[in-house]
Amino acid sequence: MIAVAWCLLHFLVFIVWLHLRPRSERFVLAFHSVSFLLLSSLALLAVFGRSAPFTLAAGMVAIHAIYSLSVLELWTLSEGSYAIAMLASLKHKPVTRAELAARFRPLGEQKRTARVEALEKSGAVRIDGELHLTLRGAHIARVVSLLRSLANIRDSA
Amino acid sequence: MSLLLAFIALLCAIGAHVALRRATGVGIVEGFVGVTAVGGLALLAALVYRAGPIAETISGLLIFAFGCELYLFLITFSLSSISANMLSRLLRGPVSVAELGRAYSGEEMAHRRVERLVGADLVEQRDEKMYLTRRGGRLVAVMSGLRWLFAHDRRTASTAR
Repeated sequence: MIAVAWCLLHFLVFIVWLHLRPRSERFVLAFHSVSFLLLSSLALLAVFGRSAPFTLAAGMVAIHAIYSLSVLELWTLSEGSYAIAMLASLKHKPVTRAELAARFRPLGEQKRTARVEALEKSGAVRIDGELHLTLRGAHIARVVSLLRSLANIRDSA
Repeated sequence: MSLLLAFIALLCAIGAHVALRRATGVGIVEGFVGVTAVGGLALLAALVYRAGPIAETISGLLIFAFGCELYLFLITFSLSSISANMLSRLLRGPVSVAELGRAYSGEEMAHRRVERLVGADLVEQRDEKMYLTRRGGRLVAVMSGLRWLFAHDRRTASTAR
């Protein structure tokens, strides 16, 4: 019950804060991470103080994890998803397949450029005329590859 | 014990999903929701049979639910994220900027998205034109509500200023 009340209160403060002043992606992530760490610390204290069994404490942490992951996914999806932008444009005016693809071509180019820059900035790739994976990037790429092979996803590019 | 049972149920659900995806053409999300429902019910039965405290039974189910959500999030991320796709491609060797531009050209990416939207029954083609399906219309309405809730339009407006 404590974890549910905590998450409800957190959500309320989160929404009010967003409406009072627009916030960046980094702030939203930090706002959820701090709350998650605080609740996890409380749960750990309860376990060490013998006022709650470990399983119960893990359940409390799981409630916050489910809440934060869901809210962050919805936040991201409603903020700038490519597919959602396409759907929203079709709501106003149906167009042909070629027109739809042409209309979203600049957005695709923009996203590709932004992603390459972000990958370079995060140290996952190195660019010298060609794109190379760094050691860090190779680790991430292997995890992505493993996930894709688990779900039997074929390469889309 | 309920923690252990939750992990075992999660591993079984993931294993079943992997097998299902290889054996049939079932969709990633639909397939996982199916195996998760079965896994969750089996876990509930095992936890009730153990007759532990109700709070521990609920905790076990919550841990299982979180594990399932995380797995599904990671799988869908690896499928649809442009960055994840690029990294996966680079694992096969370096790519020139020009080649990357061709593989991920704006038009190609847009075409691929349209295909996925048609495949997901969110968009349909009638008389040469693309229309939202009823499902697509509902999704757009939900997303508009979420944009308002998360004040995205205010944020976009303030960034533009």
